[in-house]
Amino acid sequence: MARMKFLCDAERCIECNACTTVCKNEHEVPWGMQRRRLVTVNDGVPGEFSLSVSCMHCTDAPCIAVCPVSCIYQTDIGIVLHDKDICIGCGYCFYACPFGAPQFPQTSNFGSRGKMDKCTFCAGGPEADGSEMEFKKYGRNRIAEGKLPLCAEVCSTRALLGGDGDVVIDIYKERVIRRGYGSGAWGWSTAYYGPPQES
Amino acid sequence: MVRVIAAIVASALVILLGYTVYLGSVTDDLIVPTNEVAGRKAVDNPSNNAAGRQSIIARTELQRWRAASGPSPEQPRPAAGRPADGALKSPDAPNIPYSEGRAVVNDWLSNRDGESKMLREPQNVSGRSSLPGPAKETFVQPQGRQWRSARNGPIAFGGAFYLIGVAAILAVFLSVRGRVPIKEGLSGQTVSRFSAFERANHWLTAGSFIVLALTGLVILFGKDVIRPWLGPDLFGDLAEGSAWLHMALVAPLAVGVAVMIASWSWQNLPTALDWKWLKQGGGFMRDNAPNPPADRFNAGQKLIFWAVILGSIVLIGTGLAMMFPFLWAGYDGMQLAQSTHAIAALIMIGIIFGHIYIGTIGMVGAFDAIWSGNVDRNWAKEHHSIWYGRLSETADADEQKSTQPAE
Repeated sequence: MARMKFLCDAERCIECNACTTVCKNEHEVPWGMQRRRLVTVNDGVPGEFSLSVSCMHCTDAPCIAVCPVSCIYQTDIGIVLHDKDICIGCGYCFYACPFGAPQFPQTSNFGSRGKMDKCTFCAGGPEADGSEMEFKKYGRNRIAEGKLPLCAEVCSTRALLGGDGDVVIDIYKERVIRRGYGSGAWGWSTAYYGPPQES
Repeated sequence: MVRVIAAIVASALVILLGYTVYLGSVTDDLIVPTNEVAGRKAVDNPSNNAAGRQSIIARTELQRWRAASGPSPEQPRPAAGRPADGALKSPDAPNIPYSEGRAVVNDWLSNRDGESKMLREPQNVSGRSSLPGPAKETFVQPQGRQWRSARNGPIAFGGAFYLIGVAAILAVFLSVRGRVPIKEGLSGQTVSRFSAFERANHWLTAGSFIVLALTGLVILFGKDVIRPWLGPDLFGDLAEGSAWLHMALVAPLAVGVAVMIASWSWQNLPTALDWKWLKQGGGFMRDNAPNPPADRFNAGQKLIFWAVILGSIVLIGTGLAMMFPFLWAGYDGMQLAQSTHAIAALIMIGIIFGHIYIGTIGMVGAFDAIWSGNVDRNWAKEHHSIWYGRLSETADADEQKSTQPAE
């Protein structure tokens, strides 16, 4: 059973912004919106590292839970998609999203922020695969072409891994063992396992 | 007759209340994959077959160590990532029934133990981002999940329980007590109670509050209550209209409340009489109970007044914070604003239920005060004895003055 996940290896990310640039270009994301962005932690001090972040396609996704019009949904391989025809731009998904993924054309006004836009794991949306309408609303559908998200495939240091979660974590484990240190899978516990389970 | 209808309504509301409790206890706020926008036609999902999944897994393998995944001089060119013909075609992928989706989520969650060494504790991670925009510098804010749980759990179910509960209590009260009558009956003579300006401002505030309440309820409960009836598209339009109206009506509500503060607040300052009035329950409970004395506004009305003023200030404040997201507040502030807004609004709606009840069906003669502005003399004497007394004194004085011959 495949389950799509993103993982950013903080030891490898060099903050080159290729992922964010290529994402904007591939999907023709409008000005002012970023489906993927880079966050630099401890900038300019020892222990600095960078992380590339977009929608993580969470398990038990909070955005789906709070959407007042139920326009967001998840596929059986874990990709979280949404229907822009129904979205009302209320911005609740942004409050709920742990990763700040939802983007809005307007920065102000509940109710007039326009249709939400976010990373689709390069899987388009509810429109017919590869149709012009799908591209206009949701960007390229690479998954339907048998490809993985461009941000991960373009990463020159292979810091950003995307694809089947079992393979991704296996690659990461192998790396950690090989290099003898690691920083842990940033954001994974929040994205894929939710709040800590009672044990 | 009114009491019989009230009894029927009350029993229906009690059943609804029980149903809400039942729903609250069985609803599991867990998101499962559906492969489609709920209520829409199933979409074709290229990965919804084994061959499609295999090709995606094979493609992921290409991200391994380059010596292993190639292309490299030592390794053969990988065949992975080139799906076989038809592997990605699955035109009429069925949507997933809940039980199957549930199994899929359980399967995803079951990996936690195997990966636990790779996971970091959930924590807020922020740095800086060179990209412009609000909250871009935050990598992860796990409290988003807590906000979601609060909204979908205690706020949604608690709010529904509270609103239905208040309505049920009022219906039970009406069926047991009946309408509060005017003891001496209608006198047929009226006195002026509220000026046209006061009434216009009351209805400005009331009208905007009712529409704000309804549109707000659409945003909180519409997805579960209305959407199944209207379908995703029509409900989407309704919700969009609701969001717009909800935002636009801030202005009239704010104006109405501001005028109310200016014109009524000095008459609503608490006095010693109010305590007496409250202790006697306003004299509503029994027909033969004496009506405690009250000035123009009795203690019950004063409580409503201050609840409206305080509630509106909280609602307008938090509402403005949400209208300009991340202008004044960060994630915590926005989440707190939304939760406060929802809780305060639900409390206010319940209070207004009581206000509407006693002002219309609950008491004979009360509605005239705010509709025509003139109330029956006997009603005024019973419920606002001090105000009525002062009014008749000045009226008598006016009469005397006018009968004195001019010099």
